[in-house]
Amino acid sequence: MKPKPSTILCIDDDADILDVCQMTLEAIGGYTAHTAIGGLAGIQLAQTVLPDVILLDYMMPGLDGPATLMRLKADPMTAHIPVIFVTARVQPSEVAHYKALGVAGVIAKPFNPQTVCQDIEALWLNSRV
Amino acid sequence: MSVLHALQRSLVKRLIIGSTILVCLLFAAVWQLVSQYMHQQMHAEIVKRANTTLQSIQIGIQTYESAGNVARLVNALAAGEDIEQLIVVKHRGGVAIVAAAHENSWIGGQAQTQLAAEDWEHINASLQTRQAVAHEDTENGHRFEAVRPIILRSDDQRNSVEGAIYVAINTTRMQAQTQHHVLSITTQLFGLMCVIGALLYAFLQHNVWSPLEALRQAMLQHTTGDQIVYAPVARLDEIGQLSQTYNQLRDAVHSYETRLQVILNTVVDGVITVDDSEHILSFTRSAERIFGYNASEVIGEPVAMLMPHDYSASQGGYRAIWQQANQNQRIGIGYELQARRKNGECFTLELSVGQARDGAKNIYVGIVRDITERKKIEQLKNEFISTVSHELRTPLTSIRGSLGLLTTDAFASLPPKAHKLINLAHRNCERLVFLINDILDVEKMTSGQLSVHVTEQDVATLMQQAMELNQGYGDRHGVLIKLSNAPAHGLKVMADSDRLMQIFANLLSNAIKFSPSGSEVHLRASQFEGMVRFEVQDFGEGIPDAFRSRIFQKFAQADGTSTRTHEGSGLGLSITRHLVEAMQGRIDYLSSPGRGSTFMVDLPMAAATKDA
Repeated sequence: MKPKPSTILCIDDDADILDVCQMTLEAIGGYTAHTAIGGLAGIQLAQTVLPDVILLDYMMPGLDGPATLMRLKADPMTAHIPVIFVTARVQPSEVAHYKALGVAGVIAKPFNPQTVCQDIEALWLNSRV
Repeated sequence: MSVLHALQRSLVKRLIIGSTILVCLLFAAVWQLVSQYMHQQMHAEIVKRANTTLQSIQIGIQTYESAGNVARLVNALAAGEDIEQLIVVKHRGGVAIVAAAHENSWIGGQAQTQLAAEDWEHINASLQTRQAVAHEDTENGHRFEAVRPIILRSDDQRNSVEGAIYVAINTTRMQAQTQHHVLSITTQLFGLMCVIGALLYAFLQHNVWSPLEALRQAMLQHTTGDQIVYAPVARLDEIGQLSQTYNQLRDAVHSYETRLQVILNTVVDGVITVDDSEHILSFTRSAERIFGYNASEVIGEPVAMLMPHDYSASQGGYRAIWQQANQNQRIGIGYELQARRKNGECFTLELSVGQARDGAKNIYVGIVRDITERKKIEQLKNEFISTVSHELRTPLTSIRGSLGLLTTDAFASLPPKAHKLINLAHRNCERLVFLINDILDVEKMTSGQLSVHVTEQDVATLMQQAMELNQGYGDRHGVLIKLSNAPAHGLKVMADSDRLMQIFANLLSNAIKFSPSGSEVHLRASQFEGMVRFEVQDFGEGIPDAFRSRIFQKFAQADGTSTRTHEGSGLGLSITRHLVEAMQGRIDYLSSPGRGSTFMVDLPMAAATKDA
């Protein structure tokens, strides 16, 4: 049986999306899902729960996705955790830009709840290689 | 050679030289004829004079009885002009004795001893043959000699003896006179010819060469300058008519040029012509507006002044730019490049280039359009679409996620009616997601950002996947997707798997949408001309022929009415064709009304398969 992540942290500024994410990850993927509203809260939670994967929104007020990513990568405790951007902006040039920032992958909004867990696992496996 | 060359270039010179040669030949012939005639005349005169003299003496001899009278007659006649010698000899006993002579001292002497040997010969010949002898001597001075045999009375007056009269006429004076006459006549003739020649020259000069030269100058002005110069029309002869026709042509050309100039100055796009050496030949008013230069500032200058510094070098030189633009123009797309205005501002220019031959030279005609505004608008549009799509997608994420979760087994305990409503909402939410994705794809297509990541893919796996992913949609329409003629595992195609799934989704959803409930949609794959051919066949109503030209265009719907029965944005096939072409493939379809349609997508086969 393939290894799979067990704990996933979702960081977004939209509480509705966080709810859907959590329910999807738990009901369909069977993971333990944590959610945090905004980048700062997300970083604190990441340091506490040390998830296997972080799903990070790109556009957020205050600390946005790239800034949050920088801080996570700067902290030795969280630097190794693969981060996946979840964003509606997925023009090819934008995706290339995200990859350059050092993310494990990109999932486009609106995601399909029935396939999103497979996508997360594929990106997670890819980041471990 | 240079003389020949000059002659070839000038009709006037040819005429002058030709007629001079002709006149010289004519003059020589006339000289010859006149000279001959005058000499004949002179000769006849001399002969006549000699005969008259001889005749006079003969009559004198017959008339006078005394020898003294004859001698006086001879002396009198010998004193005449030009007569050198006049002698009467009598023949007695085989000896010729001088009976009378212009010099009385010779009388009684032997003619043979008294006379010069040549003169005696002629006299002797006449005495012997009893024939008249005439001889023209040109060796010892010009003289004419004539001898006539006569019968003389003997000294005793009773018997007759034979004798002869000899006359020698010096012709020098007459010769000179004749020469003088010939010279005089030919000189007059020459003078006349010169006068006629001069008159002819003046006539031709006035009537032919001057008008021709004026016409030539007018044409020359037309070629080199831009002012209107008409050829003068003095008379309506052939040359006058030629000049008049030229003037009409000049007017027509000028009128055409004016119209063309008005058009060129009116069009929004600038028109610039450039020669082989990359110098500007012409610059229209619109080009002036675009670049901020006056035509006079740029004509004759290198075209480099219209571009940012070192720009051409980075593009592989102007020729490469022209050629690139020229090729692009063939497929109807202008070539975008950076340009520079007079104030130094750089901007984006769209260039189409046409090439023309001017003799041995090339002329490049560039149509330039300032697309700064268009670029700004495009930028705004892109930002707008990006923002809108983001703003639409954020709420959709929650909706789609919630509905997606509700349709899973985790929520199977919901009442059936709620389930039905949730399914309905979920389906329409999916449609909305597809529509937004399609719009974004079209936007990417337009801006050239739609990229594909081509790798080797297994055809059978792809088809299986396509069938599974789209059967749900088929089920809702009561249509079964059937894999017919599925190829064995091992056939590989070069494709972007996600994008190929999108292509299948578009083609299969179309096929399902237009199929009657209970029918099948066939999905096939085969090898075709070194490519992998995927076919999606339905047995629906078919595609009207009139729609063929538009079917792959954006927002195209065969049924464009507001009451159409089939959903869809009309973007699917446009995106599909773009994706297929991005993967180096091609797409086409066959359709017969009432019997269904078959869409064919050919994609490059993977190299490994080809080798196998």
